[in-house]
Amino acid sequence: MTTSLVYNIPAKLIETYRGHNLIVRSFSSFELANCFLRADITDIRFAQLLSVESDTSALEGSGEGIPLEIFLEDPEQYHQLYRFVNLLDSHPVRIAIPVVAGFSDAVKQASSLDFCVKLELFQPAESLIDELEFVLDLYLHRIYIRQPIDFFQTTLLSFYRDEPVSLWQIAEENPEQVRYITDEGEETISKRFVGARIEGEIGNFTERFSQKLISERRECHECEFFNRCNGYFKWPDRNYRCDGIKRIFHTLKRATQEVRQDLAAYDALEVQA
Amino acid sequence: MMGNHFSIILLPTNKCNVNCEYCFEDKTDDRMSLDQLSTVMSKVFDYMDESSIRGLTIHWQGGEIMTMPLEWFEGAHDLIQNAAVTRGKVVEHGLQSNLIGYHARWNNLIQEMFGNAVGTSMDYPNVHRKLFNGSASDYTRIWKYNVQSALSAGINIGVIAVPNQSTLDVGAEEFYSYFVDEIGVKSFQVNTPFPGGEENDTKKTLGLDIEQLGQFFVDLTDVWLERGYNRGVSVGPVDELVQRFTDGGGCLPCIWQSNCADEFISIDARGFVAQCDCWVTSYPEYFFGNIYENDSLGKMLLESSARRRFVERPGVVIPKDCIRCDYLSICHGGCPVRTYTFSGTMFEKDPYCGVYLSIFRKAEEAAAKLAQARALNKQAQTGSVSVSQRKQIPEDTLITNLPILPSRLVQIERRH
Repeated sequence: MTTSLVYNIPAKLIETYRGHNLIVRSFSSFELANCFLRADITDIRFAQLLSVESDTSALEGSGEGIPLEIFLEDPEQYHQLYRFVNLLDSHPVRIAIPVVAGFSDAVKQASSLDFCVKLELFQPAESLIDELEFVLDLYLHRIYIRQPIDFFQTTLLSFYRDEPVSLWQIAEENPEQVRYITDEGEETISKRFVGARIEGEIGNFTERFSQKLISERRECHECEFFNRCNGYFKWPDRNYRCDGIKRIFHTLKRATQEVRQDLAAYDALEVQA
Repeated sequence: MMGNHFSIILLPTNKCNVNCEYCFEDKTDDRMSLDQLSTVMSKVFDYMDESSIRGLTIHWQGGEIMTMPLEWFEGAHDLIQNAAVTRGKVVEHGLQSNLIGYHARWNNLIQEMFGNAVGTSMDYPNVHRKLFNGSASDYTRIWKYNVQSALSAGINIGVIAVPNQSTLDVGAEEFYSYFVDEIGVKSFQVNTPFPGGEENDTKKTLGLDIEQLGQFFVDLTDVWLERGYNRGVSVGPVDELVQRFTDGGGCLPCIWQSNCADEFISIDARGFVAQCDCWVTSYPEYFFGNIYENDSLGKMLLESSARRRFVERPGVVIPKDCIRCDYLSICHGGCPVRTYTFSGTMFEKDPYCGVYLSIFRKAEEAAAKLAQARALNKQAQTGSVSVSQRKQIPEDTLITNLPILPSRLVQIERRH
């Protein structure tokens, strides 16, 4: 465990984790605003509001500059996002959207309001891959998408810079960097690991897990994107087939090449000028 | 509740000096005294304090603003500036007038308080704007004289025009020529008509054919690109849309904000508070309250069931249809008052949806062509463009520097 670990904690534990790097979460904007007053705000990496039902007026005037993530548990509630537009005046705001049927409308709505988006992916069924590809097309080609949609954005940049970044990291689930503290105070990797039994040290879980996937000569063994995924989509079901996910990665890789070509053509014009 | 900037459309008088047939305001003789203005400003600043807002823009209009004495405005300016300094606020002012009562003695105030700019309004052809004791042509004659006097005095004039059937009949070319060549303005904006306020026969005829109106905007865009784009002429909302499709910038008018309830309120001479000037004199059932009678503006806004309807509108309207639209991020379902006055409810999308789609598509196409022209222009300068490509470059964009479009504050919907 290193001192730079970030702890994702329920707001009620703010005193217990004083002095650590924190992601503070709550269903109540008032509780978050209260945390901003009580805590050293330099400790807070960002705050998560877990309910779109909450009245967010308390956050409009407090903790200015602290990034907020709003969890849209039910993507069909996307129209609620209009209520949060004013938060953009005082906070960077990201909307976390679970990839479930119909999530694309929520992504479109969030992007239309200039929110950043984080897709919460687990092991998407093939039926969801089509919708994911639709959203990827929006991200890559629609002019109204002016803010990042992750994991697309960071993966695209990682291809462009040729610097592999793990999906565990993009999803903020790399246990070398982040720990999730449950409401009961137990430490685990992330929300999707709550209740799961992790053998061995949490800190090197992903390393052990990915090595095991390779040694078992599973699908990952020959996957060209393994250095970016590290088996992220093989948890919890190791037999999950990644064909659809690979199509997403291929599209992002191809888009990177197009961006490179366009920029090279532009640079050539600049040189001539 | 309102972000870090707040805007008020302030009507210190509900009285008007003209008799336009399609006006959406129900006029009264009420005027705001300086004492009442002081009360209003105090409560507005209190609200800004509560909401951590530092910047305020006051859009002054009426009624007709120039029916107020010049001395009243001089007093108002001092009163507001002194209060702003005391309260640590920054206040800017905008002026919207029909200019029928304009005289050169207003020039100093216009310069000092309003940044030497005035917004006014005129249609072409003018059918509905009339004096109390005169025709539309009398109105036009006086307006033209006053606008040109103001222009001669160095005042920047922006015009809002509302098309009517005659506008569509004469077409975009003649419409553009009237404002830019004949009147001499460099900035005008075209708004769509709506039958607000007390019913009359004229208002029943305001609705225009959507396809024809859409084509008018498309044609106007072409005329502007050919004759105005490179010559410092701005034609709203097309110019700002082109900017939006070019680099994501552009300041879009209030009808296309994500929710106008987040942007501004209007206060009239009687102290009534409503969403905007289109509501504040004519629709009592949509008043948020009276600022003279309420201790706290913030509490009034928070508790107003009328305001809640505005806040909730996008959440109801967007899922019906707009979520499928490619231009959702630009339009957000459009204008509540246009919807309400045509449909009887604000919980539908804007009835000018078809017109807006035509404008958006045209602006997107124009932005793409201008970008292409810029690229070819660059190639032409480096000598790497072919003869056939050179022929595709519009005269005006070849070699010349492309202009930076003027930026604007949020274009509050102004009275016709």
